[in-house]
Amino acid sequence: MDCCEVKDGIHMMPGNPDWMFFTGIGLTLLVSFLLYFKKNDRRITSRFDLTKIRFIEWLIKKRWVQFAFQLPLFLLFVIILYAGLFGNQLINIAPALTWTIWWGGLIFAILFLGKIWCFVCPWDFIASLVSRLRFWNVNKDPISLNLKWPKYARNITLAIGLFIILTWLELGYKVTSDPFATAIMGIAMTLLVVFPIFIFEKKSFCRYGCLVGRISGLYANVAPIEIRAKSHDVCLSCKSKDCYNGNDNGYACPTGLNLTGLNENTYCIMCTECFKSCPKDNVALNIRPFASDILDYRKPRLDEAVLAVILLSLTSFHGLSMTPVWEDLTSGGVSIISTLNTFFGLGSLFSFSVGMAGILLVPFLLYIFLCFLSHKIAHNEITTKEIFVRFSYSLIPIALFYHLAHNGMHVAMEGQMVLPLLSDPFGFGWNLFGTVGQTYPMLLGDTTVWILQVIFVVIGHIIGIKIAAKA
Amino acid sequence: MSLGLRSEMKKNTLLILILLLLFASIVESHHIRGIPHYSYRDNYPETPVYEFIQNTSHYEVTFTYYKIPGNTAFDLAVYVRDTINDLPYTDPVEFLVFGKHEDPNNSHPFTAYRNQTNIYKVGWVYEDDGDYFVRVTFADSVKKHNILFDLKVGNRSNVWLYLLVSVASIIVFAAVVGVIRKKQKRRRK
Repeated sequence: MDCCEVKDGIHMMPGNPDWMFFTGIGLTLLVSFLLYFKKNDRRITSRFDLTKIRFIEWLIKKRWVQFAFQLPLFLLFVIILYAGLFGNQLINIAPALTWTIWWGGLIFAILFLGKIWCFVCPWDFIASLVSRLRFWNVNKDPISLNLKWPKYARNITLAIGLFIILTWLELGYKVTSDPFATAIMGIAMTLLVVFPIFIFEKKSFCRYGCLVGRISGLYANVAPIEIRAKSHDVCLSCKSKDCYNGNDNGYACPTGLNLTGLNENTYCIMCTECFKSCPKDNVALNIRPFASDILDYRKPRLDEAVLAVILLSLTSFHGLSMTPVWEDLTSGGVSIISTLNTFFGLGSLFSFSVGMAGILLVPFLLYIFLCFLSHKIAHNEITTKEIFVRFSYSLIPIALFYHLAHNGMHVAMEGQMVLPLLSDPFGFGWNLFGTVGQTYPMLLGDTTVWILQVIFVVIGHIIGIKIAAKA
Repeated sequence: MSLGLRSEMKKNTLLILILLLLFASIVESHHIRGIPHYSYRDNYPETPVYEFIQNTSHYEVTFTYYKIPGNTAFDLAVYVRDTINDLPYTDPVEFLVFGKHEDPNNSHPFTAYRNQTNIYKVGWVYEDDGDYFVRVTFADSVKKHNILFDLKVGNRSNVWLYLLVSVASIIVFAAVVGVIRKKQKRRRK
């Protein structure tokens, strides 16, 4: 680790050099100005339907394909649970595989492949299996009370709450360093998905409660992939709405979508059931330009807007929590945590919780205040709430690309730590591949990581400003 | 979906944005921490290990242990921080390791002195898997501080209970839902 210095026993990493910071700011402003004042905003709207490739069409329509993708992920999930529950708690693959490889890599998967995680989700695999009692064939009478999701909860508040709790557990309770806690969280998530499937119709939890699905849902609007109707006219003339209701060939859309009104990726979980159920072969898997949905979002919602603001706050908080400003572990440093510790005297976890709540609230209130100012500047022509909702979508790419910059650093600088653990995943003293005790260099050097981070942040801001300009 | 703001207003907004940037400052360095599945004190970038943190009076004591691969030796490490002035503790620290059913008075303590990075480290070799305690003792001008940490060597016990409860709850819940559905169907008939 030649990039780091050790100070008072703490490994420190220098921040991005000044010139990178100012180049990033300069690029953001320059490119944004060019986009902002461009009169003819001609966007590429062309699509390429992957189902035109016969093999892909054949593959998507086979019911066993999702099972074939989910099974290996399920087995990996079982390995993580076994490692966390029964493995040596010191040398254990569970935290690194979960929090560095999966959580770190998930955001990259969303950027390029949209909601692909939902397609391979092991929690969904378990829930579907225990409810439908079929590996892949359609069971029209699954074990479920098929109740409607409560009307007051038909929003993504539950997912937002779970995401905040996860961040608190991750950074405050440091659950991500604990194999056992990681496994317990995996089990808890399984129960969170399984119980609702027995009670509510379709996959209501995926639509309203899943924190992974809802976050990736908003982010997936930037992805260059979508499932859409090939022809809206065909959909409008369709009386049976098999995509919504299901039939012998495919389940009803688990998140209650129908292709006629599907214009955004937010709630599509790419399960491909609509490909199987549509009697008119009117479903396309399109490759499209990046950020197609988010640049022209048709149905802005308050709950999604709140999630967008919280996403930005939490991703920023993630970065802040790594700095000495938040917690200075070196000698004599004053930080937010040490100040709160001194003020409350109730321990680090309490100070962390108070600090995190504050850090979450500040950008939120600031954003509301700026929306209110805009409302006044616009001579009350538009309400503060409407401004809040419409402009919030411009924060999504900023949060996504910041998330990429942050997670990319973890994957690139820590991903190699999995290699020694692969030989002894449970800490039983094995050396399956001869990698135990070996140290491996970082996948990317610090300068490369910095440059990539600046590029990500700049791209996010440029897309964000473009969306704001359109709003 | 244009909000109808005038272009002059847009220019002013950008001007304000640029002015705000003049007040930007750079965080020059930060801890390699982030997703903290490794100790960010003295073991990075080695295999991740877990840290245990406890407080006594105004001291924050962080304890971690590493198993030396291939034998039954352990490195036990402690970092003591004075939370009032954020300075590391510098006087000797005493370690005492004993099994759950052992009398600590019959065990021999190790005295450790801080190394260059303010970490106190001792080597310890164990004979049997099981649950142990590590008692860390240090003193300041006011009193002697004792902190007890768990040291698990080998597997946790009662882990099956978590799995059994989870699986059983799913089966029971599915059965209850199945019964309710049957009753509902009968009523409909």
